[in-house]
Amino acid sequence: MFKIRKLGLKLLLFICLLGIANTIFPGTFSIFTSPEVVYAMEEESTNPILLDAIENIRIYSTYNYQTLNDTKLNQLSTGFYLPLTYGEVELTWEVDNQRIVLDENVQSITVSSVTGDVVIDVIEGRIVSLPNAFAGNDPFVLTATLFFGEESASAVYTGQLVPVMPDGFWEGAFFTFFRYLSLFVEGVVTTLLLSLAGTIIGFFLAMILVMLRLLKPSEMDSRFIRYAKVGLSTFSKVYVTVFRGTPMIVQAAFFWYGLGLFGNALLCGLFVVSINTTAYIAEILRGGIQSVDSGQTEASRSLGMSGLQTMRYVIFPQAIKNSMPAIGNEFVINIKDTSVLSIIGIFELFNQTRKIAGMHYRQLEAYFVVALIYLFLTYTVTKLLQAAEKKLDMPIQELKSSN
Amino acid sequence: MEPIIKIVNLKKSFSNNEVLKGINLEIHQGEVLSVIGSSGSGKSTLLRCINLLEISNSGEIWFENERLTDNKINLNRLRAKMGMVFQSFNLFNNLNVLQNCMLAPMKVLGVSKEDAIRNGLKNLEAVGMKDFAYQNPKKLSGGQKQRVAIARALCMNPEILLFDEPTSALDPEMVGEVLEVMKQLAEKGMTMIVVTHEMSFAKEVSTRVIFMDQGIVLEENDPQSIFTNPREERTKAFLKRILS
Ligand SMILES: Nc1ncnc2c1ncn2[C@@H]1O[C@H](COP(=O)(O)OP(=O)(O)OP(=O)(O)O)[C@@H](O)[C@H]1O
Ligand SMILES: [Mg+2]
Repeated sequence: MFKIRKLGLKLLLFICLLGIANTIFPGTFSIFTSPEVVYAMEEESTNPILLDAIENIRIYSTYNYQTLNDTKLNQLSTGFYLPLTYGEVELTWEVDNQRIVLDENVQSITVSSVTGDVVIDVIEGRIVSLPNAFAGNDPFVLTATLFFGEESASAVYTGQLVPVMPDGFWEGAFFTFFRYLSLFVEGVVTTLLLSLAGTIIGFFLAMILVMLRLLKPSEMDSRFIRYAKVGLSTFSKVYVTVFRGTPMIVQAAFFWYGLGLFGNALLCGLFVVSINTTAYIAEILRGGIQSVDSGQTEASRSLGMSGLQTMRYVIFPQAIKNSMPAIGNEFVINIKDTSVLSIIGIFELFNQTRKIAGMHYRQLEAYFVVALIYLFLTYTVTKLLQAAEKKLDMPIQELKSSN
Repeated sequence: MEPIIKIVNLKKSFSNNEVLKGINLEIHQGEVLSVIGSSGSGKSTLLRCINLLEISNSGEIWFENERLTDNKINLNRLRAKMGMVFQSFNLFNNLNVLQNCMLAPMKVLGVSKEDAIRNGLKNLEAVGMKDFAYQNPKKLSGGQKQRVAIARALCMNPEILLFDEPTSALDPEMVGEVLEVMKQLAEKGMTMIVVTHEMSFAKEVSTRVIFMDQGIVLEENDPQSIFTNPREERTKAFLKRILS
């Protein structure tokens, strides 16, 4: 039992460390990295007209006529149209994958471009079959040969066919979960990182904030100290009121879109969670301090300990212990509430799910899966915290010689 | 000989409620002063003023030739020389028994950890609690807690010990063990002020008794005289009520 608890905590820590490492050294851990962009060209000609054509050839989706160049070829599950001409350049196409058939019939389609709608001649690349649900992506190579007078050149496009999502709800949900596991894990790591680091940072800031709140001017202080104490205590009060009284989503938008803090959305998000949590934990700690019997303070003061020493060695340890369940709860709340940081473009679990949901245009399954993942996280963390609390039930801390 | 504590015309009010109405008192080295009186007469307030847990409104308190009522005084240094034992023990819940005894000596007096342990164990032994040194105070009985609280106060080597009804919160069968410890301290010459409802203790152990009534010291005498032959009517009434 004991060992399992320890293991759980270590695992949590490990995932978070991995996440931090991944943020600092992107790409070190393959499960967190998306595939490389798969758009490539081969140029053997120096003819500017051919080069221009290679630059500008567009492949269009049969689904919505959008261009598929760049990353979208890499997530292909619909057919596509291949242009037969580009200005005076003529094109022929080849594909190396059995699942794709290039139709001989020439069709005319209307696509929009900067100069307005244009009609172009295309052939259709039809997808005969998609890889089955749990197979990996199926890579393919499209080769275009470009002719211009005597000269020719070729352009090579690589892409991947993605499996189809099965029709049924449960099948779809399983598919979503397993197929995008690494994306979900990536989201979970970011979410845990934000909420855990945010809670820990918030905890330490809250300790300072609550200290300020408890400053009381006494008759022995000089005038300046008295004003300083009142000022700091008021600041603490106002801080709590402001950050508890405004939604985190607004705070996030304010600090990121408004102030562009840190120039890095993830750091800005961590900042927002931390300062938000600070306000809540400060209130928790204040309650915890007030719940410590005043006799403890009197006993400590009667032994000659200063107000600060009394705080540090007697009141705070007890207040923190009393507050632990509520602080743990704050962590659990943060796991859920960091989802609002998706609005500043952080790919935490919720935003990651939005991305996944968009890939197959199947919202229900994706959000069902993520609901379960959130539930799993909050439940596990709650249980781990309960176990940890039990273990800490008798915290006799070490006394150190130094002051 | 100079008194350890000298109180001159001490007054203390809580808003409109004047609790101490001019107390005059002297305590000398080695004395055991019992403070008796009915509830609300200001006994606790007097002790708390001496220990500066309450700030008095007027009057003077002298402790070893320093005026405690002076604004510039270093409270902590002086409090360190006065031990206080509370009715509700007030052991530090976050520390074990021995650590309760070590904290203040280390943090206030700057004693080394080794010395704090040695001194802590010595004083715990003196109150018969050495075997419980590593226990959580919550697991002790009331009498044991109070003995630890006394040991904790002794670890600061105080000049004087203040007791505020140290046995009032105890089950009757535990009163004896605490009084016994206090008696031993008195025999070793510790100066003590004891607010108590234990008349037997006041009679047998203390060297002097004061009877407080409505914020003043109404009667002051040696225990023998005050118990057998009280001068004031109100003292008589109080003793009659409490001894019957
Ligand atoms: N902190 C306080 N604020 C307001 N009033 C107080 C405070 N402490 C004590 N008092 C009042 O002062 C009066 C004397 O209280 P005190 O505790 O000194 O009495 P006591 O003689 O110790 O009584 P007891 O035997 O019940 O302990 C009481 O009327 C009490 O209500
Ligand atoms: Mg009292």
